[in-house]
Amino acid sequence: MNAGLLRMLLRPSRLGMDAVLLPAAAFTVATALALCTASLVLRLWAAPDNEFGAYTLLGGALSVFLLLPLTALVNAATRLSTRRRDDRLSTLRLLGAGSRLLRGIAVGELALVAVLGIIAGIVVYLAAAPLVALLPVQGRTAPWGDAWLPWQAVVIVAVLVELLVVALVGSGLRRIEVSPLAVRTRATPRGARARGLLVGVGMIAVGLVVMQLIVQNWGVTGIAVGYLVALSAIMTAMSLIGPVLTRWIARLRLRRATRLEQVLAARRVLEDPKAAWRQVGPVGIATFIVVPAGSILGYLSTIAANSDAVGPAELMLFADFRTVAIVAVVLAFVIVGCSVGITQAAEVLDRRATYVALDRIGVPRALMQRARRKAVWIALGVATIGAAVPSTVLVFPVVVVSLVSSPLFLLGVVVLLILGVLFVLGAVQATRPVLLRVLASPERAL
Amino acid sequence: MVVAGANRDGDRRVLHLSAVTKHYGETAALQSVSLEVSAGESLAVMGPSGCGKSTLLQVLAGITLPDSGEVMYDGDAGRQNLVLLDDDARAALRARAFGFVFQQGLLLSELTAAENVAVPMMLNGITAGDAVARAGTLLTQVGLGGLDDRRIGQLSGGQSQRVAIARAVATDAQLVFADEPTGALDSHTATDVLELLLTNTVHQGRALVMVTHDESVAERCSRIVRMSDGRVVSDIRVAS
Repeated sequence: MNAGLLRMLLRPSRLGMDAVLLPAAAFTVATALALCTASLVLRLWAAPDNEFGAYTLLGGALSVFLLLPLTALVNAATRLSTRRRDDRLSTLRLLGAGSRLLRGIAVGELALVAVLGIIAGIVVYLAAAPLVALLPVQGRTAPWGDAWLPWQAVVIVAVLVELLVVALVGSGLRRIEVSPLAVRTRATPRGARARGLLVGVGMIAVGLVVMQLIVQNWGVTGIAVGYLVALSAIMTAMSLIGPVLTRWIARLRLRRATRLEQVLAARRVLEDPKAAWRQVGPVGIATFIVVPAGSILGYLSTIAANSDAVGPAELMLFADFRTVAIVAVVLAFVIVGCSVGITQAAEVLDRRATYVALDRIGVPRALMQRARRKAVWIALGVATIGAAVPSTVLVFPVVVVSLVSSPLFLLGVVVLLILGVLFVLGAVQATRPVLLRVLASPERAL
Repeated sequence: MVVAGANRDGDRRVLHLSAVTKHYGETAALQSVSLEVSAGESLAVMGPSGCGKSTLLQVLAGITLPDSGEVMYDGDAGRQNLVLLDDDARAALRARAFGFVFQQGLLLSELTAAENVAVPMMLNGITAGDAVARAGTLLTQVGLGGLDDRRIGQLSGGQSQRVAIARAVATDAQLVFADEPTGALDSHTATDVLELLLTNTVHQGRALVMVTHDESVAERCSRIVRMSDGRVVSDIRVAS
């Protein structure tokens, strides 16, 4: 590859800063949250009273649970970055650049942006680590000296994020074809199919059966693998069912639409239900898990309060289980909020022409913003309500007991979910300045 | 200052541009331009690339604000200076009183043909169901009956422009702005689209302001304004 050419192409320009700043922000958030999570996981694993390996499982579950949203966030950033370079890649192809050069440019650019984001993420983590240290594990906060991860762990997490970026750019590039006229996907993306719904339901059944089969004599590793398989099955199921449900709901909304923003929102989702779901999918998984988790915690707290058989160690474990559950859901919503913010900013930039067209024919900016919020809400509603209902049905007896004996736990779950949804919708609202900036310079869209 | 105002006695003025100046950085896109547009007339704006034609059209339509000068609109609600209106008020005016047909149509790719036509009606308070139903009638009038549910990407360039024309007149707009409406079409389709545009605008008593490079298109209009370096250099009536 011509190093001079690569250097020239990597030189930042004012017009191309969106392609750098937005993914860099995503990598910053992903790195900072990955490090914060790693910090908590290591503390759980190092808990002194861990005879039955419960804390090992808890830490492992938290890592696995947050892996998907973090990957989704990094993936959103790489997709955005590749899309923002479409024009440049196709122009280089027109001028005769080969596939290797184009791949090198795309991977090289994003790897460099990722390094910047990761460094910023480490700085954010260093500032936030003392707050993470305040979370109690076995009733104790981390001493000031142990608030930060060892540097080796920081390096490992940073390298993993960088490798994830490179891997996702590579796989993303395989899905697109760079022609001299434009960059397009190799095949028309298949829509969300009802068949996915059936496979998804089957996967949930597999997950539940595996969970039922897990017994204590499997040992810590066996139980960990069992829960990993169950959780993976449920996550896969959600990613298959989510887009189908999102498409159905969007169609229903379109049929019932009376106002322009409703039509625009439903049509936007129907254009690519998978992409709409991908933005918020991790919220579905978080909801699916937090409802039974909250109910079980409520149920356990009732038992703990009314039984002498529950010792201080078990009470401590319940409390730590609660902490981890709250942290997992809060982080899932934060990551999804960031992912939605980045995806929405990219959406406005990619659809400049559409927004300028709407502005020219007299569509008020507030209406455009409402349409964008509603479009995200369609998938978000499916993710939260669509996941909460089946998970409630699955553990209905526990939910009922918890509702009667400790309603505050379930109320807490509901409040947590509402706050999370508001945070994600707030992330859409936060991208309003991007929309205003696009409308302020319409000539770039035409 | 060049004052261009071929306003015939008795014609109702709908738009009056007075000493308008607009700069993009150091470049003067419009230099003290004055112009009137009367009801029912068709006005072609011509000139070389970069002479300020599109900026003039955007200022007339309240899309872009000038640096100085006045843009007065005489509508049902009385006289309004577009320069003094905020973004939302100008957007509301465009939705209510103006129609647009641009080179790429500025149609929304994710919506169907009927939904695109229905957008201005929905902006004026008509429910989606009623608006889409009325849009179907308008599409039939422009020769696109039966294509209501087609996406814009499934239509040809000429068909897309017909959708844009149907949308432009969907709210009974008094003024229709067109920016190179036939620029991307072959000559046969361009003739059809221009005919349709004139039939649905000036023949219905609406004013049409059209930016074009094409002399043959301009000659179909009742008035031709020529621009150079941000100024109006000639304003002539075409003998019918």
